[in-house]
Amino acid sequence: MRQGMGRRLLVVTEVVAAVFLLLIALLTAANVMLRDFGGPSLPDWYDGSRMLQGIALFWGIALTTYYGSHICVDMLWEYLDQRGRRALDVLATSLTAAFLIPTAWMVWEKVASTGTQGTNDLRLPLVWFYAAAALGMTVAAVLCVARLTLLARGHAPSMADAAALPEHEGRV
Amino acid sequence: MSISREMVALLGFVGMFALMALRVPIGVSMGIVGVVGFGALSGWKPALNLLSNVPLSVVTDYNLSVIPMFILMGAFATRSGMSKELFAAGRAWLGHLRGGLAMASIAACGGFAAINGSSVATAATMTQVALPEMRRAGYSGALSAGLIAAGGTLGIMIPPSVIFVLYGIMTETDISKLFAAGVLPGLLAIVFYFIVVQIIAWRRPDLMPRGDSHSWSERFSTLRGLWATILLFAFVLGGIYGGLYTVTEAAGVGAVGTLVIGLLRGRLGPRGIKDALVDTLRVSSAIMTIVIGAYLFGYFLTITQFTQQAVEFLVHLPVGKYGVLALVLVGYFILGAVMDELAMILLTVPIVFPAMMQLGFDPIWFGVIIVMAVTFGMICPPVGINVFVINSIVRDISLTDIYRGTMPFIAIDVVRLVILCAFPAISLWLPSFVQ
Repeated sequence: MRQGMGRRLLVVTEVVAAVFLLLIALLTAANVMLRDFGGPSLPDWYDGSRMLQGIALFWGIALTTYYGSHICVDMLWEYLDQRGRRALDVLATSLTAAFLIPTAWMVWEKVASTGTQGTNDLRLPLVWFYAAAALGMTVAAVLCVARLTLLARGHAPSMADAAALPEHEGRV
Repeated sequence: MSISREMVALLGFVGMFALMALRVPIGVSMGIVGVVGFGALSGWKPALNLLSNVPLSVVTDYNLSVIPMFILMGAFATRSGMSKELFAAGRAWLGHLRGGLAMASIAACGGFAAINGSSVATAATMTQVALPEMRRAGYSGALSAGLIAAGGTLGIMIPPSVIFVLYGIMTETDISKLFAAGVLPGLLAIVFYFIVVQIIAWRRPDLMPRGDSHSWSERFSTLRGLWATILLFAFVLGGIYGGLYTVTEAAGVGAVGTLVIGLLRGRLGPRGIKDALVDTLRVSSAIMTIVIGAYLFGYFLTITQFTQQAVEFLVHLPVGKYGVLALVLVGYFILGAVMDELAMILLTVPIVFPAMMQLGFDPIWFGVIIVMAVTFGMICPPVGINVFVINSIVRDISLTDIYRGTMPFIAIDVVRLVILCAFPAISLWLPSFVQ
């Protein structure tokens, strides 16, 4: 049951971030086309794009952290045996958690201090977007701890696990 | 006992490299040292404030959207089979020559580089498309993998290029001019790689046997498949240079254009779109983590005043401007051996760029030289990211063998770097036409 929920969280994380990424591209292209053909600018395309980007990337960092697909230097790791690699992975993931947890906390501080700021055209409250992004960073911290737990038990989630997610669950 | 700021900066660098060696993600290593270092010098509240502001401001910076969008464009292109079409055309036209498949692979790398901004993506894609064909034809696995690793570096030299974008944003240099500057050095690389292939094929024909010959009608029919790639390249760069959209917008337009072409040709379905988006998301997030870390580390370096001192030191070295340039390039080779190219750019450009400008070098030309310098790090041992990527796809060719295969191409890259340094006009001629 818990495993099923965990998988669902991963799929939701992936889909949310991927959809937002596509929306940025569509928003940019639509605005350019409208402008170049003499139409009006899409309201809030600029603020909308960058807010969606923030949300997509923080949620993307959550996935990247869980699957251990951050860019790392493998120089020492390559030369270690299985036990040594596991120990190094546990240490590296602990340090990553030590960075992500206060980051998530401080991003929420930023959300709290955003006040009534809004987007340029439609005056949509920035706090909505910042909160969605902060939630992504919080998920990143949670998934980092989850990865640490799995690593300690001897199972390292990897991109291969991501590929093994059921097709229907991950479809956009 | 108080420690001087210079010593704190030095400890910061040592700590950062130590964390990287422990396999802490590069961005996180820079971020941890940046925040802890800043806290040690300015207090913990200001340090935590950095964490409050920097990550969110980086990920919501619209200028940086160019990175995920160009990566997305490449991901859609890969899923639409454009890389296969490029290789098929190269094989039909060059495959019958000695070393022909190798040249076809290099040409395909160059073509794919024109619709994607990443070196790693180019190497990974061509490993799956070209490497099996070369091995089936009896080519040496090590040499084939080595040439794809080297060919992959074209991804960041030929526009669009993620590294040029980052350099342009950091130094406020015109990115459209940087893109134009990368074209001739990129083409020069293709010519030089062809020469290396011909020399190897002449000396050791057993390593690169001739392939099948194709009729003229077959050759011309492969060109028909290239329309999408050519259209996309023209659409993106034509729009930038024709003043229709900015580089940042071009990335989004290019990504949507590739998606539309893929859909119209029936090459992209829901699964392909989803996979391309998720791939892009993972790569972009990994890159953005490094950007966040580099910004945090940058704030730390600023308060240690290390950056200003390093610039002063470089400018006043008694070796002349070309001596300083040579030292900087040697520094890049050394750093490239242990660091990722993005981290290298983000960490060093704030120090090296002002020094180079004070010495009178051209910012566009220096951008090309820097991109050229970091490409060595991508294929040189012990940390050549392109080599790692190829090895992760083709496990039966060892890292050592791939590194051995890259050596002839690294040698010719050194020659190319010297030529680009000696003749800045190669890089600066095309940008002179950009308004």
